[in-house]
Amino acid sequence: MGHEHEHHHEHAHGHDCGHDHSHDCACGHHHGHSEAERLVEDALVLSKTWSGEAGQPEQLARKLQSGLEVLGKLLEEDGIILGHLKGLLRCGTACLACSVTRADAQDLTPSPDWPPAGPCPWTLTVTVLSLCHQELVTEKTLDKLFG
Amino acid sequence: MEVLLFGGFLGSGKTTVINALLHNLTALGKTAAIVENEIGAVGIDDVLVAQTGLKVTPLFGGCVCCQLTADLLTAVHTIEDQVHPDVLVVEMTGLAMMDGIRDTFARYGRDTLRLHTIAVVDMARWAKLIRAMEPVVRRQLAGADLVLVNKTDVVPADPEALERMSQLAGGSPCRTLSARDMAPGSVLALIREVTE
Repeated sequence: MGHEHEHHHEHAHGHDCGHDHSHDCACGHHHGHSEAERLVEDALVLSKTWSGEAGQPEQLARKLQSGLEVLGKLLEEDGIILGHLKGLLRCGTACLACSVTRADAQDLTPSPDWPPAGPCPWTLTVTVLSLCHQELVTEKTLDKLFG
Repeated sequence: MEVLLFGGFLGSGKTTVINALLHNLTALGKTAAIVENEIGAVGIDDVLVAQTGLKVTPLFGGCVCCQLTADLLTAVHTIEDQVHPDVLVVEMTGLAMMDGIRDTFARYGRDTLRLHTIAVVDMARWAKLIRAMEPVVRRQLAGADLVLVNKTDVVPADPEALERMSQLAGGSPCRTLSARDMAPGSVLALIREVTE
C-alpha cells in the first residue's frame, strides 16, 4: 500500500480475523488516521506474474482456478473474501479472467477467442487483496500455487 | 466535461458495470475516456476493458496510475485539455474512500467538471461486509450521488439493506442490477435518472 510500516489496530464490532493487533505502531505519523484508513493500510496486497513460451490454455486455466480456490479457502471469513482475488491468464491474444469474492464461487470472464489452440505463449497474473488473514498468504504461497 | 467517478469495495463489480456503461455510451456515438486505478503491481482491469470489443486508445503511454487524489485530479484536467471526451469514467480502487475524493474534486477541481459519484455495492456480500468492514464501507458510500447495488442475481436486494445503503450515502437513491446480465443501455439509464 505504499507504506513502509505495518499498522496494528483493534477491529470494530468484535470482528476477529485471526491476526495480531496487539502491538502499537511506532511509525509516528498515523495517529490521526480514522478506523477506515487503518483497516485499509493493513490490507494485504500481493501481485505476481508468471510466463512461459508454450503452455496449454486449458491446463493453465485449471491451475488458475484451483489456485484461486485454495486462496479463497485460506482467506475466507464467514464465507466471503474481505477483499478480492483476481487472476488473468493470457494465451496468445486470448485471455481468461477469474474473480473470487466468495469462497464458494468463481466468476470467469473469457475473451471471445478463448480457448485458443495450444501450445502458445502465456502469462498469468494473480492479485490478492485482503483486509483479513493477511499473514496466511505470502509470495511463496503464490509461487507454490501458480509458479 | 462530465466525469463519472465509480467507487465501491474490492470486488463489487465496478469494472463490469463500467464495461457495460462504455458500451452504452459508444452505442450512442459518445466518446469516453477511462482512468483505471488499480491496486497491485500489474493491472488486470484495464485488460478486461480492452477485451470487451471497444476500441481503446491508451493515453499517456498507456498508464495513468493515480494512488493519490492529487494525481487523479491532474490526470482528469489533462484529459479534459488534450482528449475532450464527452464523458470521462474514473474507476477508483476498491479501497478508495469516496468522501475524500469527492472533497478533493470540490476543492481543487475545475468548474468545468460536472462530477457525478457512483458507488457500486456487492449485494452478495453486503450483510457480512457491513458487519466486518463498516468504517470502510461507510466512507465508500458517503458522498455517492447514486448507489448501484450489483450481484442481485446472486442475492436479491432486500428493502432494509437498500435503506441502510441509501442512509449511508446521505439519502442518495439505490438502484439494483446484475452487471453480468443486463439489457443494453440499462446502466446508462440508471445513471441518467440521477444526472439529468
